[in-house]
Amino acid sequence: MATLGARRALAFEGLDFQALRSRLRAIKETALERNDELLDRLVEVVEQGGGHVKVAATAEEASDYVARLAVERGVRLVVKSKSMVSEEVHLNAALEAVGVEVIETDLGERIIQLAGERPSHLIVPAVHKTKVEVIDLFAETMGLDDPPTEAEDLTRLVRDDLRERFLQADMGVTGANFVVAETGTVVVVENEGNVRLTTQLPPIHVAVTGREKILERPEDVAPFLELLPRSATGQLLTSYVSFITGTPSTPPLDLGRETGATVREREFHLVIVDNGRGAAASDPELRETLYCIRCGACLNVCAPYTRVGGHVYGADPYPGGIGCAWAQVTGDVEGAAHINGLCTTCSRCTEVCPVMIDIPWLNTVIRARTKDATGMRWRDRVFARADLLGDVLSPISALANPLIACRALRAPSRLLDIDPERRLPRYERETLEAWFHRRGRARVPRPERRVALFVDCFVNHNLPEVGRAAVTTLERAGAEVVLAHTSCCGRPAMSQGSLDVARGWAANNVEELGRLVAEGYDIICVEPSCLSALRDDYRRLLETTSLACDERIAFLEANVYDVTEYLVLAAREGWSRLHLEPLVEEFVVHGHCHQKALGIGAAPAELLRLIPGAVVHEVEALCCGMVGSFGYKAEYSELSQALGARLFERLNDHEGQVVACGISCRSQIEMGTERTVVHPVEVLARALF
Amino acid sequence: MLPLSERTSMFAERLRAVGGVPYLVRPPDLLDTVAGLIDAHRPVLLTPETAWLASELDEWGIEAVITSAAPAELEPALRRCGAGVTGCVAAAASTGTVLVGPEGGGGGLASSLPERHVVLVRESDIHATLGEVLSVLAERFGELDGEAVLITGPSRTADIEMMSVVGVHGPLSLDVVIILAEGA
Repeated sequence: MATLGARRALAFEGLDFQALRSRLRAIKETALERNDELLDRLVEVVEQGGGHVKVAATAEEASDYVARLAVERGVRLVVKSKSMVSEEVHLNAALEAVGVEVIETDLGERIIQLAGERPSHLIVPAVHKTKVEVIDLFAETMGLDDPPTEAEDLTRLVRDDLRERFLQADMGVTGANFVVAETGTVVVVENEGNVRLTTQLPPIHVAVTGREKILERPEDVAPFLELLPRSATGQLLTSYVSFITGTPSTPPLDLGRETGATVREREFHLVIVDNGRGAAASDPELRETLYCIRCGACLNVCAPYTRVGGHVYGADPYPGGIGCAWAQVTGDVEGAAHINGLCTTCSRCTEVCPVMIDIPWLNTVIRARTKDATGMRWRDRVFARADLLGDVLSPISALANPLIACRALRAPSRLLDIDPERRLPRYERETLEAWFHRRGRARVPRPERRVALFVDCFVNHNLPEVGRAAVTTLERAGAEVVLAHTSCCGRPAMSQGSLDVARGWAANNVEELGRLVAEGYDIICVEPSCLSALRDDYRRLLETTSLACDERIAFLEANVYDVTEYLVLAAREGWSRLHLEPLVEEFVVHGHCHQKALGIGAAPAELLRLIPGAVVHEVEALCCGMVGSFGYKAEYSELSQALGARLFERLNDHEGQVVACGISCRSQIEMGTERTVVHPVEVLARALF
Repeated sequence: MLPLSERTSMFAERLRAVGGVPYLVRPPDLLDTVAGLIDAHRPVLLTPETAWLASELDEWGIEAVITSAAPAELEPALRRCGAGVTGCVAAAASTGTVLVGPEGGGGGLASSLPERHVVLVRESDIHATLGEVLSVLAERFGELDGEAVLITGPSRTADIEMMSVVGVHGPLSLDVVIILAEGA
């Protein structure tokens, strides 16, 4: 059976994913800007066609409306297809409270209904259940002594069991993937066929959905149909895509309902739920949550989610990192705060989101808001100031390092809720800056390029040897190197939700680096998390400040590079003067999540392959699990190591030198494999002629 | 612009890839093919568009109920019918998809209730891409009485341990009978 990843790759072949998702993003942005107007139009069109619309400000209003409708029409039995919004507004409970029986008809939803559980994934809600658990569940709830054991037969059981319910139901409730304002059409995608039966057999159809689903025209739906199924299940298209406007043309069927309800006319009710969405539309930081098309592609690449599942990493009913944002938007601030820490901001989800939502950024914003509301603990204040740690500990490194390494720090670690097994990295007395100052600027005759090295807190204080190797290699390649005098990039502060502090630094850095770029320098980063802060996050970080849309941010984005990326480009563009001696050695390379998110995941391995004789293996794309401070925190350390377990195995499949960029991956891999890790430039420095 | 024959081949291939079965027939062979597909699954639900088959199938001894029939006649058949035969507004070669309209008052019952769904497609209605079919849908939306469904293969699920199962609430099989253009 093909893996999800392989199926996805096949489904996306020949598709210009970037172009298509930019288009989807644009459609969603425009539709949301015009949401009030489109909503008015939608109401008008549906009502003109004889349908009913309820615009529900709150969850209670939505479920009350449906419950009251059921009572007024004498509804006794409701069949339901999958709808996250209906779970959000607790529709089933409201109906059951007025004596209505509700049957979930989606197979996964039916399984969890019978089990009395909540969904753990957006697309496959019962993914947490094994087949054996399902067999036992059916045996128990359907009173079977000899239940079937094959998936086909279990499915058949549910088909037969629910068929009569479809025929007897008084009301069918569905969700909607899209709602078209111009025609009043509800568009629903599915594979099982239960949506079709739900909308056609019972006389009353109620569609419950969020107001952010409204698009203007039928044509706007087409591009979404290209990406939604591919992103959700790796299918080109789902088995059924229904376009429903008003009521079906069949007269209402009376199939001998035992319920005795006197239902005669067909009715269509559209419940449009706000429940915080309107307010979020006006919130520039949270707004992009509303572009979400609920495909679940993000969940499938999320390391913490795939490890712990949606019941742990979920704010009922929405799972994962995007679930945290949905919880925040729909007023479940506590639920959001509870799971927010599980988003490591590794950014793997940003590579696959079909509407280009920056889920890590949403989580960072929510982290900041939570901190503003509840205060920030001391541990996290320390983590936010990697720069201060370095400034304090480097000068006293002779004292600090033994203390850090010894067991004496275990008790204080526990007090701060830091895993006592985790050590801070070694601090070096001579920082990179001090070394550079002592050495003086190297003369590079007729330099090909001028570069300014962004001196990050870690390369400066903990890994100056990596910085020295980077400087030397760049100079030998023909670049004149200066050190940029900047503030901390702000990544550690952002990770802890200290956005005001990060904004101050970002503003300084944009000014300083902008000046350097204007003078013709390329900016080089050694630490990939700093690179991603500068190249990916500064735009979002500064969008609420006076520097929003400042052109220097764009200049910075266009002129800041990872050191491995830069050296590869130098070789490709033909200006590199590097002469590399053969190193007949084996290397195994792990790609940093942020490099992958920026599209340069292949650079480290490609750089090593420039060395004659080097044998370079790359392991599959995995997250090491450390992600900055995440792995240090007592509550996440075990998970962090579990996340990295698969990577450690893959690395240990190979002999040779382990190579990785970034201090987090380095520490995590050293701990998990007990092998040393070096940065690619450290290898290159050895091969310099 | 892909020539018709290439579109037809691609459609057949993509349909098979999603678990549907294509049949390429000349008009004279249409009835035999349809009868063969539904013979073991009587009675059959027909829509007003495919109602012309009723008298022909009667000669085969296959009982047919039209979805526009009075409730008293339609309702008993809904539990008994084993197959449904519908027409098709347009088909997409790139995905093996058929666009089925409201079936002239049948409300989609013929294509969703029975275990077997048979679709009659004129070869000339096969477009190259899904995008083109969606344009057809958008253009003819009013005329389609606001009901349309894109069908790509039989019903399926992967809800139990991500194992792919064909045949859930919708049809277990999808047979697409492509009526070849005259002189093909």
